[in-house]
Amino acid sequence: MKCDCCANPATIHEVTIHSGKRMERHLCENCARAQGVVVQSQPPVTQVIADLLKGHAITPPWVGPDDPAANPAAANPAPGACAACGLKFAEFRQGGLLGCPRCYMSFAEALAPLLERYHQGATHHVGKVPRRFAARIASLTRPLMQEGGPPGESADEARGRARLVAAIAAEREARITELRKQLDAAVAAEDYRRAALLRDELLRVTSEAREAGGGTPIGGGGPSA
Amino acid sequence: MNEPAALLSHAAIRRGAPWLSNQGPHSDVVLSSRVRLARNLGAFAFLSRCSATDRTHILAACRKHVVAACQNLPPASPEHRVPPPTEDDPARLLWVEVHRLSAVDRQLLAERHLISKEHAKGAEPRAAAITLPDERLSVMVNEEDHLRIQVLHSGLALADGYTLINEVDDRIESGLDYAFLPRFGYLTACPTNVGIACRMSVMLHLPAVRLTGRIEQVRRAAKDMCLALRGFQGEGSESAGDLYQISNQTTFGKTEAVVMQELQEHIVPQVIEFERRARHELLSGSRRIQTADQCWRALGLLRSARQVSTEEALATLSLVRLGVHLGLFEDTSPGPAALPAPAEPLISQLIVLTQPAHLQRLAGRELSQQERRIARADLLRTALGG
Repeated sequence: MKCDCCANPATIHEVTIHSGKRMERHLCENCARAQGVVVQSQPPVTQVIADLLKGHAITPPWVGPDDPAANPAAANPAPGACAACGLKFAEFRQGGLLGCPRCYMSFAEALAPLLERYHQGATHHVGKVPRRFAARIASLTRPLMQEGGPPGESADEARGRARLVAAIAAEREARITELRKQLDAAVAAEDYRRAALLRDELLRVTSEAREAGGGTPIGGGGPSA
Repeated sequence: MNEPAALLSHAAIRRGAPWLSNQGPHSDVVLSSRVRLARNLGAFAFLSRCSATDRTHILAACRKHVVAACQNLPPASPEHRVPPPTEDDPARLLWVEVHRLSAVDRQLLAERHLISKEHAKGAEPRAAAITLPDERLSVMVNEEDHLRIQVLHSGLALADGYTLINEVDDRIESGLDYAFLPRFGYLTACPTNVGIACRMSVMLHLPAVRLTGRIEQVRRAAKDMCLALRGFQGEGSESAGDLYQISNQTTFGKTEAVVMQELQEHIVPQVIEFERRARHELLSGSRRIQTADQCWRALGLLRSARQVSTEEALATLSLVRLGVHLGLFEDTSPGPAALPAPAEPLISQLIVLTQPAHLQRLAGRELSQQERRIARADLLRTALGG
């Protein structure tokens, strides 16, 4: 997807709901800065969910509690340590094992190049998504896609949900991009069986996007395949 | 569901492992196919940072859902010919707390590849669920990850394995929140498994590739294709008995279907073809008598020996298995009165039946190493008509 203002790829996707009306902006980093949109690297979707749910005393079940009381080791995490389990990245490098699911968020940037190296340059998961996870995300995002959002939602909550939808859409877009890249490579190699499998997966991801969002995924678009 | 008292029936132990039944596609070269998923619960730390209490809680959280998920499974395809339930060995699910088992029983499960060698060790709370009598599905709880689900079939059968494991995974997940992030996929203790967290492996018997001096070529090719080539007992094991496991190393950035297609349709068929060509070579010209001599000597050794080590049994059985699949024992040249030619699936089953825990369970008591060597030789002579 291109930036609304120039030909660069859009990396910032903003969704706002004002007086029940949904507005979308898709901008590249430069144009976003120029327009005063706060630019920061897209936080992992679960971070957004975690932030969003904090005020509601809900623990995101797929990456564990962020509650120091639940884990004494994390009561006073050392600088650079995982906030949930207290593991330091140096300890991971030594032992090869992460301490808890949250470590993937705590060390996301440091892990990315390691994963790329080990997994043939891969940068993003493609493949199965747990059904419960997909259903939970859909239940969180659906109200946002409806006119006006859920009853009694505050402006803060609406903004939080908007960030969530944008983060989910960005994650999904990355999966779609990755699948398209692999599909192109399979077609170029005349591996049509593989291409068919990748096309099926692309269709699955886009249909998942439709189910979750009730419409076209923000910033994603449908696959051309 | 049974508790450890009746771990496996005597008939099941005597019969050997269903995945060694020498059935299914390409079973002359492919002994078995395994699909394994790693899953963790989002609400707990990974096991390296879990206390014994956490481990007990994980066991309790998983037990109900794992047990429910492993019941009423779709029937196995007839081509896998898994052992049907009988009166003595009815269809059931075995749930065992592995840390409470005797050392021999733990080893018995590991020898049948129903649990990993690592899972068999250690005193911390851990469990396994195993479907009987087919032994095609097992779930390890508290291995390196909270859950390790595996399906094992004889022959080249990754697609059937994935269909079954996917169903079981969905059933387990219907009651548990798995650790998952859209960017990273299924979160695992070791990032080498993250993503689809799915490892597909095929156990190959490659005696001719070794005898023609080409095993390094296979090893290099596997490495180039980012595949792992390991020995009979998996990670860190040597290639005893010319048995090799080939599996995907990449789990991130590829879908399950693509990983399966690469292995089942591209890579494994090439290795099979490589082995078959090498077997053909072993039968051509003057090489035939040399090969026949090697295989017959191996059979002679197993029919005569009074004590045999595990390593010797595996190495020698490999040559006998090669001889069976090359039809060399149908040779009727002059010699002593003919004994019945060795045949499948017995030869493949002897790979597991001659393992230490199997020998001890068949004997009904614990055996010293020396006693095991004698028992192994006795078993081999009886089985091969020596």
